[in-house]
Amino acid sequence: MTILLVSDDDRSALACQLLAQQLEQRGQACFTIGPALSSRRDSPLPSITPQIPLTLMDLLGHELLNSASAVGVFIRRKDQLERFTNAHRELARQRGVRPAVVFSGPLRASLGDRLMRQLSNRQCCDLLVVPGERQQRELEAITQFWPHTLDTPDIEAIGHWFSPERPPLGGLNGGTPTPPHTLLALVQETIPTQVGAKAQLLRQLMRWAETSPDWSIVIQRDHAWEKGQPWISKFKSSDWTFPDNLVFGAPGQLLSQLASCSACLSVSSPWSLTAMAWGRPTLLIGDYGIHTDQGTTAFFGSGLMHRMQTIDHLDQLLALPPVNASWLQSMGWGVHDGAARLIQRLEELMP
Amino acid sequence: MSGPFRLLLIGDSDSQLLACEALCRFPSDLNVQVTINAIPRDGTPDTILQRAAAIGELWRLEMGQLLTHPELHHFDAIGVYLTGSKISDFRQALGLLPSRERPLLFCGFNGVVLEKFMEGMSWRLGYDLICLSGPRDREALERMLESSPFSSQRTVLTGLHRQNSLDHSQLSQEQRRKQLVFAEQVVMPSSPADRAEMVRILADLARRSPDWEVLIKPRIAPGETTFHSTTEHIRTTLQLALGHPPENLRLDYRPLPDLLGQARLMATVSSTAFFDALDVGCRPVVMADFGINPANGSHVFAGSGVWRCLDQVEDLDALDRSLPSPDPDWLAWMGYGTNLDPVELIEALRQLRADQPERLSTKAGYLSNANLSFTQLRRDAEHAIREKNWEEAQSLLQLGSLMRPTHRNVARRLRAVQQRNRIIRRLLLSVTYRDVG
Repeated sequence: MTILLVSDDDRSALACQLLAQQLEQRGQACFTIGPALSSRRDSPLPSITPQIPLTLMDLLGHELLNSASAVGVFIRRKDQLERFTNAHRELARQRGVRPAVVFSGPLRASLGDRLMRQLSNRQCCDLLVVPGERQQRELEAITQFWPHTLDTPDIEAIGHWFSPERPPLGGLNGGTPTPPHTLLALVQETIPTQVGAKAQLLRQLMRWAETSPDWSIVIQRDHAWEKGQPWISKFKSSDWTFPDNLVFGAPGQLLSQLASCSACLSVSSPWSLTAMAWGRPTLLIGDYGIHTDQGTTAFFGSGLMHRMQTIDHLDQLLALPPVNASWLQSMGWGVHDGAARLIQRLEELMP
Repeated sequence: MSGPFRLLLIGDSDSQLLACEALCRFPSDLNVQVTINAIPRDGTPDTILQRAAAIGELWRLEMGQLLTHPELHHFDAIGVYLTGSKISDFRQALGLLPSRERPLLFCGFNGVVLEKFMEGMSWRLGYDLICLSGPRDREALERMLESSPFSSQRTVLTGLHRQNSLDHSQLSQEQRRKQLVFAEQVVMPSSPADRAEMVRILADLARRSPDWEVLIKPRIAPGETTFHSTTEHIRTTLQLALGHPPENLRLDYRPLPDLLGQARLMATVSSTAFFDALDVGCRPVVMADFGINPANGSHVFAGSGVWRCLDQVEDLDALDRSLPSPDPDWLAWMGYGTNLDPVELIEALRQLRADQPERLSTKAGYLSNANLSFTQLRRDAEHAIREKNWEEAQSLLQLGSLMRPTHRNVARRLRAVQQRNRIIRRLLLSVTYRDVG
């Protein structure tokens, strides 16, 4: 099979590269496709350049698409996915050839309303790939009675294909980090959503830095940002005095920080699942409740949600109960043959 | 069986009072004595209150008054049908009361849950019993709670029937009027463009079907309120989208059961009224014109077996001829058409009364919204203060002071909002302000 994997930002470019590597190891030909990332933006992720510098719409009518067996589309603009898929199928019909199988899926493990939206945004695809059997069961339950005329995509759980399975060599520490300790605070673009909540979180991190001077706190954004744009809008550095042991992380370093940190903290960053899977003690800030808007519904049952006030000194993070392994497995970490499952599904979908 | 089973049901919005009403279909031999407390709220339709009063004794107490009411302890069980945070607040406040012989507490949802199931459930965890409609909800809950400390949460399935089929003599299809009743929902769809399109589709269908009447039943009358806030009443949408609607399309404010009792067809996007129609022998159709959109609840109703694009229907005669019955498997999954019944609730409560339930254990790392309720309550109180809704703020802060009698800021804020002198109140609010997130 020849499989095209299309991205349009830093996150999806990394995911496509990771998937391409897995598929190639199983003998499939893969091309990663996507525009070069904007030089005006910084990313927390390592810089990845797709092999073919085309956008999704550029692919329509391109020779590459004619030779493809399947196209994996992992772009932010969901309206383009439907336009592309419809146009591709129509062009193939006019040419009397079979269209490539179109597959897509979210780059995070979600549940509830967000998961349902992820399906409805990809209703046009032939195959929806989700991380875990929990997502698969939830979607199969709701779609079991849908009419056949809806052409609901097949659903397959292929694990956490969008993040590295393990830290770089030497990065595993058996869950017992040694001093000097570093707390990685994964902060998000729009979460927590309440007015002033990001500043409140920053103040809490500063308090912890002061009460735990033997720790370093690295605040790392989990999303790309315009160069020079602060994490908190209207943030003026002159208004804040940071302790020496609290810093904002450098661009491009999120994965190495995840590999080297002693503990990780977040409200609901998808990268916190990677931290858990890599054995890092993780605290999910539970002060904002179980809400779709806060991205926290998926983490209900993780066993890692605590109120900020329960932590006085950061050493307490090292003694927190571990992640609920059953929950983590069901959210995708239990799927270790994702690429093989994907290949089998794609082959079944080809006439 | 000795003495009546004394049941108190608490609701505030009209949807919640309707959910309470739907529960009260107990056969007389169960000997259930019902009291309904409708929390006073501007805009609650009078008809809903009249219907509640017909079921049993009707109370109109604020939450604070209710919690300190001397008769509260005399009930065997209390059913709480309030918005998320208040459901949790009530449970926690009652748990603080001194008597060990407190009534059993149960709660549930208002009809079909279309969205925010996990959030809603997270507020309800810890109740002695949670009412669910059918297997769909129970499966979702089991997925949510599996391998968590909450997995022993007790539930009971009470079904989606609203009326006993024997309550009314039903008209045959031939006796029914050639009417399609459209059960409007205030936020589904929500965008003005979609709502205008919805009205346009109904108007075109009416034009193509001159022998029929299309009756749009507004969810609320102008000036009334419901669970969801609304910006534009359907009457305005009709004017903006159509100017003059066709003569055989009109708004009809009569009670929905009356309309469904005489009409042949009922249409909806995703209203629980779908099941009300079935109860009275009116054939439902689900409007599929907006596709699968979870924001419209269509993902739930798409499996009904009667999901149709009304814009593509030739006319209502053709629809009347070709419309099948809803898929019985889907109905059973939702909690309709099987033997699920509120009687199950009373039996489950009696069993719990005999065998006192253990409280759900809390374990570090497993937070639910119920754990956060006090903070949420304070946020709600601050919101009410910003809105200058002193009555609401006072009620919420009273509840807060019941939950945390030693919390100084809540006590100070309560004294501030109780102050009648506007200037002194403003001053007190200013000096007692704390950021609660």
